Amino acid sequence: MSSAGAGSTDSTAARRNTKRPKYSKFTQQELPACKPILTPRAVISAFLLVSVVFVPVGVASLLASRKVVEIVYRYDSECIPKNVTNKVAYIQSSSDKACSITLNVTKRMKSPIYIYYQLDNFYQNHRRYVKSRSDEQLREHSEENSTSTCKPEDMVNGKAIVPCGLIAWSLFNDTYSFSVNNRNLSVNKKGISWKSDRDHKFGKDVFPKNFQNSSIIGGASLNESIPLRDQEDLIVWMRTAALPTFRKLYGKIEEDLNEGQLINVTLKNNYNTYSFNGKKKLVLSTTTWLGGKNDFLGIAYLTVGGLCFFLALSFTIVYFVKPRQLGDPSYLSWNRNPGGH
Amino acid sequence: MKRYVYINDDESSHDLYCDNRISNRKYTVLNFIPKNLWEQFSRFMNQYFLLIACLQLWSLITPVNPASTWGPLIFIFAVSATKEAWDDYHRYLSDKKANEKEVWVVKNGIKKLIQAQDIHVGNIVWLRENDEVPCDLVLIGSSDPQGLCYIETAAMDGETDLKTRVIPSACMGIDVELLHKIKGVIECPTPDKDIRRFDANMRLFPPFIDNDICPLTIKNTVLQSCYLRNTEWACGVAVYTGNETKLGMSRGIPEPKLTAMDAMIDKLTGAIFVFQIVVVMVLGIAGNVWKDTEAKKQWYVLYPDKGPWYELLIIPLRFELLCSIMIPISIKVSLDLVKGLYAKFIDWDDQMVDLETSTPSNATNTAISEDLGQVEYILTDKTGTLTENKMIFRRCCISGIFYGNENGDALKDVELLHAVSSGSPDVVQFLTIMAICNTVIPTQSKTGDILYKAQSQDEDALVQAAARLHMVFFNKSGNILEVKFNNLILQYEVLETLEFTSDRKRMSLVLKDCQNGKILLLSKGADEAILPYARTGQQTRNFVEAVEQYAHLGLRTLCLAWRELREDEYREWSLMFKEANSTLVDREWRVAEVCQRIEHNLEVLGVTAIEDRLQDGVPETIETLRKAGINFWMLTGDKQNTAIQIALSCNFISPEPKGQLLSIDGKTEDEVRRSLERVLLTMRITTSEPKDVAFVIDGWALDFALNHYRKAFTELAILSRTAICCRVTPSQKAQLVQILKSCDYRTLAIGDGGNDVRMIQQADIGVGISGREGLQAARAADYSIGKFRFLKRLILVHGRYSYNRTAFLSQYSFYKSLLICFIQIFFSFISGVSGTSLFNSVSLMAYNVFYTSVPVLVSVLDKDLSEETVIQHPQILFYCQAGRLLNPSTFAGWFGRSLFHAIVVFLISIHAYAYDKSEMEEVSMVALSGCIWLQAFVVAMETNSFTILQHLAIWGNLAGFYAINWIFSALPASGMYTIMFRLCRQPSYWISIFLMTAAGMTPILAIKYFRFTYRPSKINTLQQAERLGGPIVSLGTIEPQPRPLIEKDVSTLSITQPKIRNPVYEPLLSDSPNATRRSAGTPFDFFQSQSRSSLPNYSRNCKDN
Repeated sequence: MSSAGAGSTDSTAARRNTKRPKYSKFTQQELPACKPILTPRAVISAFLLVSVVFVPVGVASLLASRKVVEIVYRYDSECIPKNVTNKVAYIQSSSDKACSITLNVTKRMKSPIYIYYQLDNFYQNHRRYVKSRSDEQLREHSEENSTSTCKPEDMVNGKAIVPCGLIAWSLFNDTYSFSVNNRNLSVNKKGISWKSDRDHKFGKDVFPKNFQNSSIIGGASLNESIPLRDQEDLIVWMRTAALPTFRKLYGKIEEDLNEGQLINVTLKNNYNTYSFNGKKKLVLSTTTWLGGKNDFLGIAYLTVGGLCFFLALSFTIVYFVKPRQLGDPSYLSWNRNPGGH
Repeated sequence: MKRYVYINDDESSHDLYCDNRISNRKYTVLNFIPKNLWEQFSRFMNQYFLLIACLQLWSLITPVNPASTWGPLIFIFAVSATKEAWDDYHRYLSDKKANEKEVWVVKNGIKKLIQAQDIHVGNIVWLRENDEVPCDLVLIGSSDPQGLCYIETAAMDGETDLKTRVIPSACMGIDVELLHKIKGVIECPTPDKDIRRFDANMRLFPPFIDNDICPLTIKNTVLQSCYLRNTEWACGVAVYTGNETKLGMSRGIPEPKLTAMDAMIDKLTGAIFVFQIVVVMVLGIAGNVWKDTEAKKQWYVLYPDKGPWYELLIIPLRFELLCSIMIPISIKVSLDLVKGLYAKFIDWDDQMVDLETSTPSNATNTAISEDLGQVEYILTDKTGTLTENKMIFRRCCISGIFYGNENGDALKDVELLHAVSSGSPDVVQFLTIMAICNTVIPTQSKTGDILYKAQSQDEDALVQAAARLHMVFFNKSGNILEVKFNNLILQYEVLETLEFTSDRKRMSLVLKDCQNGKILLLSKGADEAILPYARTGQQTRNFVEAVEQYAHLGLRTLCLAWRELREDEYREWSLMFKEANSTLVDREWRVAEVCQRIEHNLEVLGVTAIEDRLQDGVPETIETLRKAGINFWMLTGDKQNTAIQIALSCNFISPEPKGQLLSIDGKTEDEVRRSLERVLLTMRITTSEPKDVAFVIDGWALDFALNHYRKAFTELAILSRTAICCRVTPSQKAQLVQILKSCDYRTLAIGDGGNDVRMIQQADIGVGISGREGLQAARAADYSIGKFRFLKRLILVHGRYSYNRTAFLSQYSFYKSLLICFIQIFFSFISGVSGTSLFNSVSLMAYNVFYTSVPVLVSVLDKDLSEETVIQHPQILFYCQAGRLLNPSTFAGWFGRSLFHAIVVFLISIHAYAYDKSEMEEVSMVALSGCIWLQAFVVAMETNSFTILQHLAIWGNLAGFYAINWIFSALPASGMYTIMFRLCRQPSYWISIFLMTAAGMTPILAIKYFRFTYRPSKINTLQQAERLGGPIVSLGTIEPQPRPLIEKDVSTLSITQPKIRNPVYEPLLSDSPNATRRSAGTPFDFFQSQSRSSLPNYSRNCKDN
């Protein structure tokens, strides 16, 4: 009779789902973990390490940048005849806008010497501009009519423009020729664009068509017998710049220039930057492992390295002047003042 | 409005009322898509994203491919919709199962098997033993000759004991065959959800007996979802069907709970939204101005002279789209994911498994784990929650002799065993009362064991104890009770049952001893309900002493008494009793009055003492959570003294002089007001003192306080860290929760029984103990745990971690979105404020979906402090409670961080990639790489503990970024063709990236280190102590003080009350349906000496309320 003891409770127990959770380190949140904390030693050595790495890199970058020889010459105002008052009207006229300038080589330049043109205050990244192109059309002959994204330079007289869009339409059209001591310097314009663009983005069977035929002429015109993949100036231009100041490769001079040499540049000043107060510059530059002349990285590295060194130093000083025991229970307010927060 | 149900009339009521088809579904196949979409779009965030996605379809303004918003949006919607559909499908399946269950129904006078959904109001439904009741029925027949049947109502109120139901008197004795042809009308109220009330009348049509109206109560009904037990068959008339049953009416989808954190995130989202609008307006105006001044000169842009009418809107809208990523679309998905995992961690937790029943903890509501870490008030039930609700007979006092005092277990007391075997008449009579004076139903299992189905655990304990003492109650057939005492079978015939009510506080049986034909009255009840009615001349001092002694030990006491009735006395009384039982008005108090006429002159036999043990670890749990700054309120249906006893023994309140207990009481509104004011005054004075002040209030006073002095009571509620509310009804429990919630406190309600369900649903977090009072509370709750002590772990470990993790995750989500958005904004200043996107569509989409989501998701494994440290220093929970880790100021910190990082990335990208390198795609990838590197380091720096998974996610994600971009760079069709290969070959790329990382992280590391070392938060201090093994572990440890046994504690109890009276008899369903508390009942005043003499007065005042 004593077995009656189980009573009414066992039925509830039996009904219950007796599934126990499966034990694993993950389910119990007990995965082995490393718990680093910010000890003075770790933090100070981290700062020191950063400064030790950054200062030399900064110095190296700065040296590399300094090694670059760069000639920048702004010609946009100089190449307008003195008597012209309306620069815009002048640049839009069809007169011959040849202009001659002289560059002084201040330091020996080793080949290859890159020729860039630099535009200031030119918004290639403007939304209206940057979207106005058709990659399909550039790539394939059959996509000639896919110009929907090219507005407002998509069609002329009901026919598709190839290459369409504002970018192509506003193609830069100043030209330069160089001579040293009356000897012409040959400018290599092959291979100035990205190879991947030539191979995959611009078709070899796509030829310019109806280009610069509309009422307003933008920039350069293209030779309709050369396929787009060989129009390297266009390919370079179509790689839009992210900044309103940018340089684009014009060509390469494949011979060394010596210090003191004078380079005569005959240029055709065709491109209109006058309506928006843009600047045009001609740049000749050598290059290093870090690219062109740019002190920014070097200075920034030295700054960050110096900052880290300063932080490491000041934390060390503070550590010795005002030592603080980590994990001192007296900082727990409830140990000071029981019951309160 | 009344409903007239024509019994067994197939035609008349078919169209009037719905059929018995149950439907819990939210959707149908047809309306699923519109309804679900409508529901989803009623959320502001979703509307916002939809608007953005629609705007993106307009190619003139969209900066990126519309797919970058539509993709994630559709994904998010599909996930939510699938979840809803899945849930609804399961509801459909369970409905279908219930609807298609076959039941016997009388159709045209013939019993037929039909599907449950075809039952109509008025049909006669036949049930067999163990059948589930398909709809609400009024009983008209039963296999039991007395017209009784037994039902289990576990599905409805969670109580597992059997309840008796009886057929109405008008139907008594109708032949089974005739039941098929019965006709009549039942007049009943329109459907409601009160499962304790059914006030109806029945009239049978001729030829069935008389034409009189027969009143019906809830006792005559069986409700949907109950089970018929221990009864061969029963039949009844369907009165409520389908979704109109009492269960169906009370069903309803509980409102989804929103955590404090979600609310904060919504608030911050709103702030970001406002910020975004401001940015858009400023940039929009600037853009239009630039366009009108500068862009006209930029001939290559070829702006038309006159644009369309909406021209002015274009640029602001473009910026709106550009800035739409400020509000991370992924945050909802991420949060849903991690919340699901928090819930899983709770389900999986091995340390929260109740080993006794191997019940794991379960998080039913997966969305509110963070709230656990922000709990400020815990409202707890007593019985079954703090105590085990396992009643064990421990001691007794029979005729002045104490048994069980030596060893604490009367069943092993040699003297008692000896007295039983020698057949001492008092002892035998005592055991008889223990065994049969109850409503327990014995059932024999197949193995011959006897199982008891008891309405209350106390009765169960007594019957079990009697059985152990050789008085085995083994059979109850109809009115005949059979008891075996030392192999001697005794039979008793029950003549009347004087039921227990919470007002009478006793129950009695009138029965005939079949051996000698004597008529006996057996009573058991609370001391104050028995001892005053003792036979004149009997010394009750002994018993009073026994009651007091047991009460001091925290035992529940019952007094047992009996007397012999004379035949004529019984006859006379019996008539009155029958009459009282059939009155229609004030039936309850009339019955009580009649009962009292016979329950006097009792021969008191003795006192039983039943122990309801505290659960393991309850005092420690309460102490720990108290230290964590959580306030405890105890809400119990129990009486004041019992509640105070338990409160003292489980550290709930401190004995004097450390603690002080204030009592609010009073019989009238005015008294309650004065008492309340007095307590409030004391409370205001003592708040500054380090004293544990608590107040006690009972349901009666609470009623006044809640209805008339709500303001004062609310102030009291705020001031008081501890409160005990006794004799409260389920709805009062819910009201108290409501009051605390209205003061903006986070409340957690914990309980185990059906009477706690409302409070559990009302509270911010409901926790159910899957205990002995059934599973109803556990089912309604957001979390169910096996034991009260798991609450500590649930709050301190799971709640805290969840809070910390979500705090990081949500703010980080905003950080990374703002980071990339700021870069876009900066870029717009150098792109003619025209709304150009620096980043391409693929990168923007992948940034949110892959690059930045994966590392942050593993932050769900982060632990700032180990579990042991948190348990040792529960005070640290304060940081979560006060919302220190996610609030406008921390958010401002993250905002500033993203602004700073955006400046770093942007400046370095445009300066390092200037002039001949300023190609758009390259600059964009450099900036994007910078963001990815920075965010990886930010996650790494904010991670407190690195497991292998974190390393994998953070650094693997970085590698993944390059892998994905290399893949894109290998596709000739993509805009990014060869870009990443070119960049990775350039030293300047890597130099720029390292520069960004160092420049971005150095100040952050410096600030973090400085704060960590010189302005440490408590969390930092504990981290340091934990990792360095400092002295803190020993110093700050909360010494586990083993509570001295209750026995020893008795002396220190020092409520200003001369004597602690422990009460007593309390079945679990203590409140009878229309029980009213009588003001003439005992006023429980601590400042009053014993004033127990006033008798319950069953006169008028029962109707006062």
